[in-house]
Amino acid sequence: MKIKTLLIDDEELARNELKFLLKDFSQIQIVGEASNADEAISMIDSLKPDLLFLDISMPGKNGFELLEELTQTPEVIFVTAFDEFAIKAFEANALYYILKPIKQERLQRAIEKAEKHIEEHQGQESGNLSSDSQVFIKDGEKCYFIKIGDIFLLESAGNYVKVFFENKKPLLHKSLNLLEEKLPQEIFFRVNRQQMINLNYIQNIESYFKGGLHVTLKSGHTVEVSTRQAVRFKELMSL
Amino acid sequence: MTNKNQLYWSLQFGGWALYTLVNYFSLPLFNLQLPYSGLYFILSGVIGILVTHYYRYVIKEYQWFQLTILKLVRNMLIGALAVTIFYFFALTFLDALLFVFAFFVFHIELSPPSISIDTYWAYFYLSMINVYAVFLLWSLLYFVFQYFENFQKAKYAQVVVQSQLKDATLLNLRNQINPHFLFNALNSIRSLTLIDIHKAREAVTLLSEILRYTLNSEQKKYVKLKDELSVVHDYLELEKIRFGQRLHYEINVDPVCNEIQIPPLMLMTLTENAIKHGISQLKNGGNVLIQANLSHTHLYLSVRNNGMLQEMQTELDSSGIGLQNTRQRLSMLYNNKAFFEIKQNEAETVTASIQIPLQL
Repeated sequence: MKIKTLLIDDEELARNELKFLLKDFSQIQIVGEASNADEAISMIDSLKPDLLFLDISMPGKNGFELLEELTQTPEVIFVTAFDEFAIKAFEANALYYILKPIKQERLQRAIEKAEKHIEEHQGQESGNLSSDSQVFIKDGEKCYFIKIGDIFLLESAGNYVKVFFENKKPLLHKSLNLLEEKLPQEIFFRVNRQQMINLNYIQNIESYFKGGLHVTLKSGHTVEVSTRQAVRFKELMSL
Repeated sequence: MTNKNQLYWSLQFGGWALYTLVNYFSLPLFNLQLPYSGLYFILSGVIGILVTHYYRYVIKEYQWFQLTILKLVRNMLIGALAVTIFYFFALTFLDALLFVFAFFVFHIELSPPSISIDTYWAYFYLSMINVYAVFLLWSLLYFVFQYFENFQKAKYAQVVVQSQLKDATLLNLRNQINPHFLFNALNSIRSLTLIDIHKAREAVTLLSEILRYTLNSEQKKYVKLKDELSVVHDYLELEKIRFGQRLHYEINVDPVCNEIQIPPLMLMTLTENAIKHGISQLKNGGNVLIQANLSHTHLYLSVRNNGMLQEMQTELDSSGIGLQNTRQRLSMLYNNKAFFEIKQNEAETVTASIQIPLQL
């Protein structure tokens, strides 16, 4: 299996160095190089890489900001020379990172781990999000790579969306409308203006007045299905 | 604080006890006799403590320590007089009270001293002057102690400030070997060895120069401008290898400045800032311009770079500390006669400038 890889670093010498080191890994297929976040975003859209080598400090948007702009995040190996705050974030969130100048062993371990992840998620349709896709959210000091299937509730909050998974609810800087378009329709349903739920997490459905419905999720959260959406919802659930 | 209070109270009690005893035993010398003089003198000592304690409160409340020496002397003279008068009123009143109390409760008639009215008045004026002198002495002692203590406090504060400055310098020096720069440089050199071995060798030399200079300057208070400029040049050359076409620089120095002494690593810090917060944040890079000029009184240094002065000086940021340290070092070395400023120019450039007085 070939891993389509994109290198993102603003320094040409650093990219060359990484390219040289990656020659030893036959499974790595470098599909492109980007020298800043904007370039990288358009390349990710067009080339659909499986893996990113991502430098944190770059002109314009940094590595974290880049990831937050993506709807779907490939596997990421962070690369940095010395960035105390970033390293703290990596360690706090068990993210994989390597330090420049790069040690071969460390690179090898990072690639093996990424490879395993990529294999697990094989066969997913690229393009639209599937339940195995991951999104990146940085909420203050905390970073999350969240598997789409693990999200059970999305709630609009101003310009942000609160993403509920496990017992966490970080904020994602995207609109609920945009997410509705991108998220797999067979799993996520827009119950009302403010909220969207994962159908796999429904525990109980009750009738409510004016033809609306009350849905209780396995997490204990209750949401209201608006009268308008209730008809579609009933069809979908073949109630 | 408690120590200070303890000292105050022991001096109060000790002093007044001594005063009372001296008074009591010196009475026969003047051929004066008071039948209940023992009690009378204890009473006078107690009142002495009370009125001076209140006097201290007044001194503190009206902040006599802030006064000029002349006003302080005036206040002390008048204050001691006021305390003396108050003291005698209190003493006379309590004396009378004692007399009445003894008479009605214990049916003892404390006979007034068997002296003539003239002697009484003579005694009265004498003791008045005596007491006045005592209060003057009291306030004098009080102020001497206070000044001594303030002096010690000031000395202590000075020591603290000095050790803080030392810490700051150490921190500054640790920040000088900027790890971000160091590891990026090493990474660039590693990469260069594959494509241009000569350039790689040159880069190793440049990095060595920078490290050597940084380590050596720990021991120096001042260096020649030309030495600092030489290492700034090395630094920019090395960064140019890393940034390629994104970095252009120019060092524009009036040769007359070369021998002038400046604090080491200051220009270097500002240049590093220009790269870290300026050039490296710009996709297409930019220019760094370093200038040095001389007037009759000052040396003018400036580092100008493309970029925006954003939250560069937030406390969390290491460069914020760097700039703060620059300011601190300048004011320490030049007694607030040096000047430092970093500002955003209109044309999306940032200028950091330093003015150093030529006469120390």
